[in-house]
Amino acid sequence: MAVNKPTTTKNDLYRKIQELAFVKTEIELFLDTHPDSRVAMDYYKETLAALDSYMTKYQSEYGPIHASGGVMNDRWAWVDMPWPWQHGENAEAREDKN
Amino acid sequence: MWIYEKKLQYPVKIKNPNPRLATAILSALGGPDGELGAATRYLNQRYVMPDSRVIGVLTDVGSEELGHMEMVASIIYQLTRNLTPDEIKAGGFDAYFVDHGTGIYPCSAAGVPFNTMAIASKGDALADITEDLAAEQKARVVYDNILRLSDDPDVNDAIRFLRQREIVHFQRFGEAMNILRDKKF
Repeated sequence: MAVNKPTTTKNDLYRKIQELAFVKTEIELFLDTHPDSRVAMDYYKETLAALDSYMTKYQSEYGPIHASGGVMNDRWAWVDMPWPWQHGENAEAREDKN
Repeated sequence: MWIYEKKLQYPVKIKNPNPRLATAILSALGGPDGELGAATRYLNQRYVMPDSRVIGVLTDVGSEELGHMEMVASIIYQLTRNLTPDEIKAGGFDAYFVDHGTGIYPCSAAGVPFNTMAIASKGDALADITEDLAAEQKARVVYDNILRLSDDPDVNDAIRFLRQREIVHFQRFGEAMNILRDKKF
């Protein structure tokens, strides 16, 4: 089954979430000093919608990024490894070694 | 109130431990111009700002700095995995190791513990935002210096991201300054 593990999809989703969340932060900072910018607001709404969609997909399959985001099979997956600083973030290889 | 997201703002994936480099990068965590200082400065200055947009900038930049603090700690963590005693000694990491092992302790590269004296919170909008402009430049210099000392591409990738954020923050604080000047504070 290890061969069929969707490692690529998980990492791709995770990376996409990092990118979109970063864009979201960037627009938030811009809106703080330009609260009336229509262009920024429209871009923000688009980004939020895309991020929400990726977050829903990721959290339902791979685990929580927000504490509330994933009660996986009725267990508290929030305290699962890995934590973000642990080498390779998704640490698929490490889980295999263990 | 703060929410934690279980991801780094930007990936940190370092293949090669390097305790000497880790020592230098400590300053970006707990040094006078490091991320803990930045977060502490902005999050404490924001309470008495006379313009709500400026409160917004300080709140949101300060919160982002907490995420950067986590990134720097992650770099140091990954640079100090699985070290032998010989590697610790050869890397000049022994002074830090004696007190902290390979744990994370906010201090400067020279071992000075993080000190709130490195920041100001004057309760004066002009003084505080002027300080913040300087702070972002000082942080950028620290990252420039780390890039001078490092030839690890994994480290440099993350450091360049952090450096670029300081430049963007400087821009936002410039706009905050304009807001204050327009309102004649």
